[in-house]
Amino acid sequence: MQILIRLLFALALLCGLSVTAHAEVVQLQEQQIKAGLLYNFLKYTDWPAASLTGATLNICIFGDDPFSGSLNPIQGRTVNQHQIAIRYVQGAGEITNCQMLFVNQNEQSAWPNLHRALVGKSILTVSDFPGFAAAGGMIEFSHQNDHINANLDLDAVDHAGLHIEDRLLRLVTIVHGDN
Amino acid sequence: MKWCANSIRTVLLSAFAVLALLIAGLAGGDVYSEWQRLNKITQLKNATVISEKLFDATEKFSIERDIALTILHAPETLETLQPRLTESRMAADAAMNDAMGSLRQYRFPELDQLQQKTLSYRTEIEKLRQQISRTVSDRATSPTLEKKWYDTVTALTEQTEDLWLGFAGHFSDIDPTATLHMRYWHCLRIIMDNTGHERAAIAELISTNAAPTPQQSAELWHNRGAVDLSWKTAEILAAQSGLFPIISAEFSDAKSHYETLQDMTENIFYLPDAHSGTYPIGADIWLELSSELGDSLDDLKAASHKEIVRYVMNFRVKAQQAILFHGLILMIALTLCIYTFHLVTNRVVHPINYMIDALLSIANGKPGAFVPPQRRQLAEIGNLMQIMNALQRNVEAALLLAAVVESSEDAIISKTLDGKILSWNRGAEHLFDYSAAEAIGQYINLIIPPKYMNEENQIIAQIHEGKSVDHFETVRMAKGGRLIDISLAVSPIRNAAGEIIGASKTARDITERKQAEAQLLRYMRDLERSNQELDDFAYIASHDLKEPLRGLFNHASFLLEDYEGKLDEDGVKRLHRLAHLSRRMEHLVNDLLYFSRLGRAELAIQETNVHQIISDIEEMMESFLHERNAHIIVPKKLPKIVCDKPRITEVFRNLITNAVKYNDKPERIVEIGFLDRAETPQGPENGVFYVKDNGVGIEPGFHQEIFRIFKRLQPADGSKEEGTGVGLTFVKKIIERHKGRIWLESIPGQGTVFYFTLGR
Repeated sequence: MQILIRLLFALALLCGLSVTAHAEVVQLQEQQIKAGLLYNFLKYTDWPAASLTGATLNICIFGDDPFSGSLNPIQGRTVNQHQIAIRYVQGAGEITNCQMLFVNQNEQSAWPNLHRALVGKSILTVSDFPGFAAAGGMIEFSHQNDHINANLDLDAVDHAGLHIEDRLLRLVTIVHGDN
Repeated sequence: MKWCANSIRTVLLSAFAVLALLIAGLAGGDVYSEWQRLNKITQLKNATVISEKLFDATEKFSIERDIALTILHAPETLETLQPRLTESRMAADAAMNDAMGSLRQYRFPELDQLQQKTLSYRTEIEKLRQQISRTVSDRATSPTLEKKWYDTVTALTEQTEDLWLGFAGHFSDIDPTATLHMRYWHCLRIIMDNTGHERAAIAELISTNAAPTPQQSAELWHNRGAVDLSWKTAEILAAQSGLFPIISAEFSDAKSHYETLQDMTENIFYLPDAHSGTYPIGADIWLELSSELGDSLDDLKAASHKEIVRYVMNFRVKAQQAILFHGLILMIALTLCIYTFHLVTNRVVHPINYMIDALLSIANGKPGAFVPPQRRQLAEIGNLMQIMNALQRNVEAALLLAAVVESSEDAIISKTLDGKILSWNRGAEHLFDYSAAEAIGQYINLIIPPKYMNEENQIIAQIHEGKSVDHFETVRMAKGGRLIDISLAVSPIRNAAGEIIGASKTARDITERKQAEAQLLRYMRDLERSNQELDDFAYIASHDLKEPLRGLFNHASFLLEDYEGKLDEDGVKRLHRLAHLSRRMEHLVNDLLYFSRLGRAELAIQETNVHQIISDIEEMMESFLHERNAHIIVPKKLPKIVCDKPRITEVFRNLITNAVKYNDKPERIVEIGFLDRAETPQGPENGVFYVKDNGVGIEPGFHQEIFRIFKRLQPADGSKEEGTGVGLTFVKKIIERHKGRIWLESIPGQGTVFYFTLGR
């Protein structure tokens, strides 16, 4: 049944898509790829035991949801035997229980403050605004040859007391941030 | 008889052997089936390992296939993907060699063929690998090679799948849970294979940067559908087999990972229209992401495998325990069997043999005992032995009785109430001249003279009433019609219920006795006549003697009166002597006359008070007693008896007179008494009178002498009173006329006791 619905959905897409919709489709595709990558980042990151206090692994979205709901299906799934929860946070005060913090590129200006708030916290930070990795972020989504690419600053990861497995390193390009 | 004992033991042994075999068969069957199960479980365990290896091998090959395809499509990726390609080739080869090596130990008929086929694909793949290496080093593309490579590797994975199915099919009947595990495992394979196909298909799309053809799209959807279905089936199977609670975390992770990747790819690669010139993801990232999904699936696989192996191991332990348990039961049952056999032999067969030996011994007339010394028996056997012992005693008693009867000189005959002879002892054979064989079964009138038949009928009538017939004298008839005087006693024979079932006769030949009796009678008559004649003679003699004696005396007296003065002193003295002697002679003759009268005259029998007699005597002899300081003591009142009173008075008077006369003590004591019973040298006597004195006593030599007529002893007091010496003779005669007996006990110098009885 699910397959049928998906097929119908596919047929609907086939019939109803217009050129203007094309850009949105690309956008959606990218967001879904990023969502998939986020899952894998979670899978291959080891948090210190002290920061895994709750039952869930929390993915916190700082600012508006840039995934247009693409991340929603992940909510409730499990990774490394932890259930994944999606949280939307607006201020630095709300990040305490986050294991991963995704910063909306619109919130680039808030990053420095946020970055300071993250000191001493084992939170994997991800964003897609250019220069995120350079600005102390850990994983920065970018493009390379029209393909989505992720840059990872190992130092930032180390500073946060996180451990990244080799498998994850195969998905990313290692960069070195300013700090 | 030994064979009999042996045969019981043989039967027992056979029965127990059969029982033991049965138990051994049953338990052995169980053990064997458990052992087979265990074997299969061991195979299952190995099969699980091999499945894992085959699974791993196909997985590795599909990864190699995808990487190679990507490079073939996009030679520019060679540099990035070359290490992974090399790595995946090595991994694929290693996994396949390992799997094939493990599989080699199984000799299932179809496996060889499947393995051969797999090997041929591998040879093919080896060739293709070289071609691929050459092609990509030239930075060339070759759609033909791509297709061939894809088809060959896919065929290999499918072949491997077939191989696995062919192999696993042999283990599907061992245990339902294990079967569920296999099916679950198969679902996991489908998931992995199909995700592999999807990975390959998407990698191809990315490398060609082309929108999927409808065929590719359909294939992708098909894969996806198969995977979705497999996830669901796997979950159900895992839940059914009890696996799910243990692997749920890995299952959830793998499924989440798959779904996330699925969400990611769905809008990009599954729809032909979604392609907008460039796919937003590179092949390397994609292959990596896909391979990372493989990690999650591997984790699930590992967890499942671990649990399945644990289950199988557990299963194996259970089977081993079952074997142990059944083995133990078998041992216990066999031990019990042997023990019971031993017990029955010892406590039943041996005692029975013992009893048989005892019976044999007894039957042969040797001594035997039924209760063995200090051997433990079962209660019943013990009771049986006691009973047989008691029976033996009864039999011995009966045999003894039979021997007594048989050896009796008397004829002992038993017969039924209607007269049929049942037994006939040796005495009967001798008496009646019929042998036992001749007599038994005949009727008793065989030995009854016709004129005595009436008597027999009376006897039978008495027996019917349960009365015995005491010995009575009658006549019976021996073989040949000879008549025999017999003494016959008949008594009823009763059965255990007390009913009269016959009679036993005891007959004694009294012919001799009869003759002796007749002889005795003749003697007695002769004696009586002789005694009578003697008495008559004594009477006549004494009577006739009296006249001349009186004459003698008278003439002596006349002479003394008339011629005393004319005779000298000597003549007078002699005449006095003559008178005295004739007077004495007269006394003697009178006594003799009296004595003969005692024998001749009838007794005047009457009831007499003996006490009164003694009082009368005391009174009559008062002066006599007084003069001699004599006393009569009667310690106990004397009885009344039936006797001739004057004569018994005479007896007592005589005895008392003697007791006083022959006494030298200053005080003369005469004790008169009566004993109900007394022991005498001739045996016990009832009703004994005694007269006891403290006189001079009588020497043993005179104990008989004193009873002779005219026999006197010197009086102890030295008195000149003379008796004729007939007192004790009269006493004895009177007592004997009363059918009594007189005897005495005496200690010279101390006294004498006269005892007497009066028979009537």
